Amino acid sequence: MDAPTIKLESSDGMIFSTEVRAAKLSETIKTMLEVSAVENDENAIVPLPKVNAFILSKILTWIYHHKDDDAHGAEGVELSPQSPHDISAWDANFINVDQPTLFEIILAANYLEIKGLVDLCCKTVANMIRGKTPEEIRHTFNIPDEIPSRTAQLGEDL
Amino acid sequence: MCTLHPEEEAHLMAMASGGQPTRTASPRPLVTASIAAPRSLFDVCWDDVLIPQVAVYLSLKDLFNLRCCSRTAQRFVEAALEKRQELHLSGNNTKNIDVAFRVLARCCQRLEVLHLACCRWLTDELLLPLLANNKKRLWAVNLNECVNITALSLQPIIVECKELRVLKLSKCQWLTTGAVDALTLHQSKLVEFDISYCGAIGERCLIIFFRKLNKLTVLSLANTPSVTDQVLIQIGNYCRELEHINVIGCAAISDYGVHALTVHCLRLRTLLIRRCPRVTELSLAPLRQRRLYIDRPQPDVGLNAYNLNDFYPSDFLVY
Repeated sequence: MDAPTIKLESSDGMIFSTEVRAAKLSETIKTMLEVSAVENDENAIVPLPKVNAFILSKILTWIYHHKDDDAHGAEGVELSPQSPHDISAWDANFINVDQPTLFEIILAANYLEIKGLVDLCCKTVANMIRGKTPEEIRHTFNIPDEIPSRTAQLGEDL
Repeated sequence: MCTLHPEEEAHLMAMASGGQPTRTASPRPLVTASIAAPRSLFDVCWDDVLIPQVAVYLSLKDLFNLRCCSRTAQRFVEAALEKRQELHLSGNNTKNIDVAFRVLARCCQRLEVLHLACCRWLTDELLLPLLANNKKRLWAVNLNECVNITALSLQPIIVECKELRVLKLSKCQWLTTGAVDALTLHQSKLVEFDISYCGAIGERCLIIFFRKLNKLTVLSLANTPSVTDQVLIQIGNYCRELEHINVIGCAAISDYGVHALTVHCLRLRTLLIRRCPRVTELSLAPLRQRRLYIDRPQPDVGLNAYNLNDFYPSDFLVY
């Protein structure tokens, strides 16, 4: 028997179909399904007015891949907040996107309350900062230089 | 989900009613009803995402490097520091650390754990503002080998840190009997305490101090000359939860003091007792039978059985 599915509508009107089990990785969608009692209605459409089609398709790719994960993260291991290096190869490839897309995924994943995906994105951002000089961080994130150089020296010497 | 600040709510209300609001400057990006495409890192929600979920992965060095990038980055890092719960600078004696510490002292408002061991640059002038901002939540303070501060810095810790559970003051020669007396008055909930190498503390003040510490589990008194059998007897009588004790180099203690620990501290798991010449296998043998870790190897020589009658009640008198 096929797994039950649910339809999700993006802010720009695109409709996506995905497994209910995968969609429930989003606490927001899970709550919507419980409140509106449409979980078993295959024709029901859950509107997601804050997520556009491109980002929603990316997110659905991620949640479908991770739909069988347990509560402890992608590799089944409780990860400490101080270890941003433990990104799986699949996740690293998935999140290898341009910065505007990365930031949009973060906002959408935060709105949809997909903890694992928010965590992945935030680790990725942290890794883009870690070990870099102020000049390198500016270059990475296209931040205009507006701080006196003697202040910058403080970070270098810490 | 993103939380709206009061000025942001007013802004949205005015937009909904068709008015032209004046937008109050805010260090955080405004959150609108639908997700606008973020143009840069700092357009991502600070309170819900960047501070709790990105900043936690960054070391202080990384945060200070980020802080140097722009005025927005500076505001972001300072907002992140404001929510930081732990500060680990032990052994950090790098150039400009004192300047960075002034920033930390100003920004950090919610510290619970403060590790500043071996910070030679640390002075009362630097430390007191940090303590003033964080005294409500601090539960662990490590000032081991902070040689350039004085008992003045200890005053807010003793009097105002109501949640304090861990206090480490090893090699703080400035720690006086008066400071320990103040600790006795204000800090009875300590579970971990270290005053190794503190030579200025008197025996009597320690005796009174340990009568109050019935929650103590970890205690280090290494190379503290005023630690005597009488002090250990008090520890045995009152610190019944004790699990680990370090009395290395406390030359004044003998089998009588160790016996008091044996009888009363039934949860004891570690006894560090090297360089205590008056402590013999007579008192250590029964502890070895309890599978304690003792840092002195067991001698091969067969000993007489441990006899409680070897310890006379008169030895346990407390003056």
